[in-house]
Amino acid sequence: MQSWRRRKSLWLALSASWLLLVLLGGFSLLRLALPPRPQPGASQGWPRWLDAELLQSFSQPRELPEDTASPPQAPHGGSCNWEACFDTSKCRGDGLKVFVYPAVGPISETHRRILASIEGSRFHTFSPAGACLLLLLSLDAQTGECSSMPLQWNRGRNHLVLRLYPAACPRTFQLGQAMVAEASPTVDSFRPGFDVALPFLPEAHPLRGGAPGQLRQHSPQPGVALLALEEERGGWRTADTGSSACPWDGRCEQDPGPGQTQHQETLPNATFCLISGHRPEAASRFLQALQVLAALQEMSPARVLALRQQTQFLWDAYFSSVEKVIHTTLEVIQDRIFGTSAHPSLLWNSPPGALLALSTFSTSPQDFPFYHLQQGSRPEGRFSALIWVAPPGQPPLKLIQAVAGSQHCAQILVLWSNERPLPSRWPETAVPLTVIDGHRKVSDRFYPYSTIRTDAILSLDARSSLSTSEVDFAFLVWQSFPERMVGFLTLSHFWDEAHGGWGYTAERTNEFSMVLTTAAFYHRYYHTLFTHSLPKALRTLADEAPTCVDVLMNFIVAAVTKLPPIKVPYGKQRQEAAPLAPGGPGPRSKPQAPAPDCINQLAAAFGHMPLLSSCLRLDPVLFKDPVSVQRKKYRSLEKP
Amino acid sequence: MARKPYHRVGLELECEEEAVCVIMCASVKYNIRGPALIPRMKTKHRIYYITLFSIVLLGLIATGMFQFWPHSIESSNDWNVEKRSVRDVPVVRLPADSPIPERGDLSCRMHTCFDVYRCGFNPKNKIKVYIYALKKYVDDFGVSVSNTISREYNELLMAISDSDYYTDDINRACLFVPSIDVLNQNTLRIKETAQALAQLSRWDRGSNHLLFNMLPGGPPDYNTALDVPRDRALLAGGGFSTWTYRQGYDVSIPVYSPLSAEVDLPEKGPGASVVVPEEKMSDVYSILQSIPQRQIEEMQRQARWFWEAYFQSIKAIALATLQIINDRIYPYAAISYEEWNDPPVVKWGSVSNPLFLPLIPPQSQGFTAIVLTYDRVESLFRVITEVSKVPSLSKLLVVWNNQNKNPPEDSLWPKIRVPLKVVRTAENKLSNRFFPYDEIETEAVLAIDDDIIMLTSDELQFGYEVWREFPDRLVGYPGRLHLWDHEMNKWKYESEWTNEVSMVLTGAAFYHKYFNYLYTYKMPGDIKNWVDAHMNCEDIAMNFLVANVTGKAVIKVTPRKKFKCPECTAIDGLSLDQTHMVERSECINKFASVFGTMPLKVVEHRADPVLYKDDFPEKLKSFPNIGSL
Repeated sequence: MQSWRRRKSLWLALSASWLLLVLLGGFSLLRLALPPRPQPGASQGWPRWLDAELLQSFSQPRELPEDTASPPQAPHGGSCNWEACFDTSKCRGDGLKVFVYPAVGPISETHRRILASIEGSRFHTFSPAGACLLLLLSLDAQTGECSSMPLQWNRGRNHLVLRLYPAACPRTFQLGQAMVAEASPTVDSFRPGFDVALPFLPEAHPLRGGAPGQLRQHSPQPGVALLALEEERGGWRTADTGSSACPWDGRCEQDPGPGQTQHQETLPNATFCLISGHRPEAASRFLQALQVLAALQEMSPARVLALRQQTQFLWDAYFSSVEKVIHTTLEVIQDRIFGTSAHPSLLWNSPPGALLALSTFSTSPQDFPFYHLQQGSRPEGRFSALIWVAPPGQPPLKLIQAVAGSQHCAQILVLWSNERPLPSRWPETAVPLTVIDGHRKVSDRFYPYSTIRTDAILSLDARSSLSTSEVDFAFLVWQSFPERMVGFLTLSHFWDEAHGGWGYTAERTNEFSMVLTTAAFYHRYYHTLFTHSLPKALRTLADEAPTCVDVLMNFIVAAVTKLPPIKVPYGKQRQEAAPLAPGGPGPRSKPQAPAPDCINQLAAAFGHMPLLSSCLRLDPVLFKDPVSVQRKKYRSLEKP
Repeated sequence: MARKPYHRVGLELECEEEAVCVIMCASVKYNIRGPALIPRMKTKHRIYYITLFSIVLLGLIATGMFQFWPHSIESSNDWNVEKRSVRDVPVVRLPADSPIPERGDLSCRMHTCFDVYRCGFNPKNKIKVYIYALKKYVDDFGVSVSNTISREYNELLMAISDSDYYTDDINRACLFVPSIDVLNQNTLRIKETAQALAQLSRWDRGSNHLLFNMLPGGPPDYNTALDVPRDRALLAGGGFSTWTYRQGYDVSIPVYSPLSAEVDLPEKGPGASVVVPEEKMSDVYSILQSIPQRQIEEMQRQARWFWEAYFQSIKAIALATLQIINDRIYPYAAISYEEWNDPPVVKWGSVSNPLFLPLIPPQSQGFTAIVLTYDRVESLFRVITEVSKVPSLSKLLVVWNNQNKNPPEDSLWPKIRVPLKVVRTAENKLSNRFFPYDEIETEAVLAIDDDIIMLTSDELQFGYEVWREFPDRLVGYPGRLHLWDHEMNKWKYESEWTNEVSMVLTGAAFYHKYFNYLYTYKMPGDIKNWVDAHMNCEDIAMNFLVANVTGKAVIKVTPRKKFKCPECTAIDGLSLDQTHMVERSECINKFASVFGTMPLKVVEHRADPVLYKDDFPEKLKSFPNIGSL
């Protein structure tokens, strides 16, 4: 009985186990036997071939080319490319040298001014033999004169035909190997990488300077239409989010209706603007617009923000004046010649742009003051003091000691610029001291001396008086703003209604727009800009009116940065000490009035007034705070 | 709510463990009780039972193993994939007179030869790519036209098939990839291959078709592009010359060497190559010597990264080609030049400031003051009255964060000269302060607490002027500092009188309204929710966010004042103060770990009016009332 029961329980256990086995195993076996069919909606993908391992390679080793470079072939049917049609062997030395064919016969005022502008630029040379590029200005037919084949034409080799306005002249000679820079070229005739496409410039486009872009704020104004589109017969229409009920497939059955769009004569205020591309018919353009709208709505605010700023930057850097358009063309060609030492794309695509970031200075973005954030780099932690000793020529011993006392000072350069013989003895300093015998020209102060090895320059006049603490603090501030000038004493400009011109003053005011270069930190790149980029006439102006040089330096930096300089505290209002103001010793309150016309000449040469005003001063964090002096790092700045 | 799915996962895990447990118990049971049970039976039966049990047990173990063993042989993916041999693919006979495509149309550009409308169905700005099924093509005599498929082309198609671009729906595809292998021109018959292309179901003169070719010809005279007539089909090819390359249409890819896995870099990679015109070959040495060492190192880094990112494998080449075409079709969603070209190292250390254009906003725009309040109505009204005196204020927005109480009636609010709006929130969250409300019409925003009554109109107006000069920064009044605690080995929050600042409190700070958008939608990790849950540190989070995206320091304006702020009003003495400081320090450590870096920048300056504390008649100063208590 017991054994039966035992057997029964055993049987029970056995059959339970069998059941479990069948249940568990059955499923697995079923799965093995019948691979499930791919579900109808599921992606099938590219098959995994059973014999994939056995597949042959596409090539045998000997078939592979050892060198893919093929010799440049003769151009097809008159087409040109850079390698075949431009002779770079003529472009030795530094930079692109351009010869401009002088005008023949009577020319328009615009023509004359453009010629003058190119002749005043750093690219220009008077010798056609020494030039690497020969420029033929094919401007306008208003005067009735059409350009004829120039003398050194040589089938157009190394020539650039610059056609800013649509030519009314019939083509009197074959362009051959000449590059053409013209407004809105057709796709058929344009040779990519060889010709240069220009924007269409209106007659009234300013020659230089040019109005800054219309953008007044970074982000779009709320409530502004999303898109403005050009209509067939001039005029504009706006479209907004409500009017896009069109799918992407190009079919759009609903008429948008008048309620959603408005016709306007001038470009309306809208976030985006659609201009006709390849299909000029208005009907299809509207469809395009609606499709564009759909795409625009998907665009993230970050991208809209970036695009707005980029259009503004491009306009301002390359297109806002005729001069900029021409210089951009030449810079593009120079980059082709330079090859390795051309502008990296970052320099073209971020402020201040390739015209103001000279590739002859460096092709490493870190060497410029503008790109540290993009590069994840920092300006160097040391500076070079450049002390200018003008007549009467007392060696600035106290100043040297004060500057050399700064932990950030790397070297001191003394620019000896007066009649007296060089002193034989100089004070012992912890940093190297170099004396440069200058030419007694004011513009020498801003020459890019190869001995300057740091990013930062502390520009000083021998009569300036600074404390080590002031130098230290100002340098720390400069490190936060390496693209700006950081100075101690200021000037401010103003519009003089009475004289109908600009004026400036050294009076203490609530705002300032310039800092004196007799005691200021700035990046050494500005020496390169001053010496190699400015029209020669402006440097001459500075030499003739030395007080003008401060204004000129501030103009350059402001034109590049589009920001005001920075003022830091100047410890005591030293009544007795030699002032930093230009024009020699004298009480601080009565600085020698600088030549007033300097600023107007500069404004005319720059084409606009680049200076901007600031109402702030950067002080140490605890400056004059009611807290123990012991806590303060820059306590000497507060001494009365 | 959030925990529910979590819980279910846990249950599933438990189930599996239980199943394993059953099997384990069975074997244990046998080991322990079996011997005691079996000896009492007859030997014949005993053997019989033991055998039976062993079989069952083995079966169970085997099944268990099969159930829970990682299925390494058949990945789940494979259940959907056909398993066939390349030799079994269908054979297609090409009649000798079947049509041949025209030669490559050299004038092709994206807008003339590519039908972008086919890509209209594709969501997320991603093209959809269809791959034709593999076939074997033979001529009238049954002689094959080419090798069916090479190892590399198979790999390439597999990479496309596994990518996000792939679709098996021919009607939704915008790009078609034939499975006809033309990687090597020498292994195929040109005319017949062209005929094979022409008979593809969606060929349509080759529009929207993509061919890959690595070897356009063989030695000694290499061609520069595939000779197979292909009409409008896009060609991704190695070894293009400037004459055969249809710029903006074809795609230049490297020649992949199956032996050494080496490639020839095709296009001038920016910063990775030196291009020397042939007539200057004699100067190569001097040209190369003139390149500074720093540039050489950068080029090496760049070249290495190019290779790893785009050319290392057939898969990388295939995906880079599709990305290039994708960028052309959706240019507005295209990845930027920097994204293509910058190695991650540069991306890591660098920032691209969203407000990169140097632009001083016009003063006339003014600013919008946003006051976050809960129920301190009296203090709120005082703040409103004070702030309304600031000349550049253009609108006042009160964020009413109290859901249990209605804001005061309209008639009770102070009468001010600018529009005043009250926004009621759905939940009492600190992040409501930084929400990008539609009501904010100005770029400048002043965030101000409902108890900041000590700031003078001059101070606020001056703060706005400073913001105009630094529109991409946080410009605020009370400044704070983060410090590295060497003893604790972590960050510490500091509110003492220090010579440095790295943060400003947003209890009173100006900033660009774009940062509201970033705070609300782009805050890294869980920081936004964490701050809302802890009801603390929204200001530190904002400081981290702005510093991280701009790479710039804050600007503290005007001298230090006694502020009514948590760390200043320690009524209960040190303990509350200390708890607060500990919490704030924890926030800094938490945020630094989420950001993966310490973005805050330390500076030693603050902004004061030009003539602040200068020996100058007070009445002639623009902002005389600065720093007074």
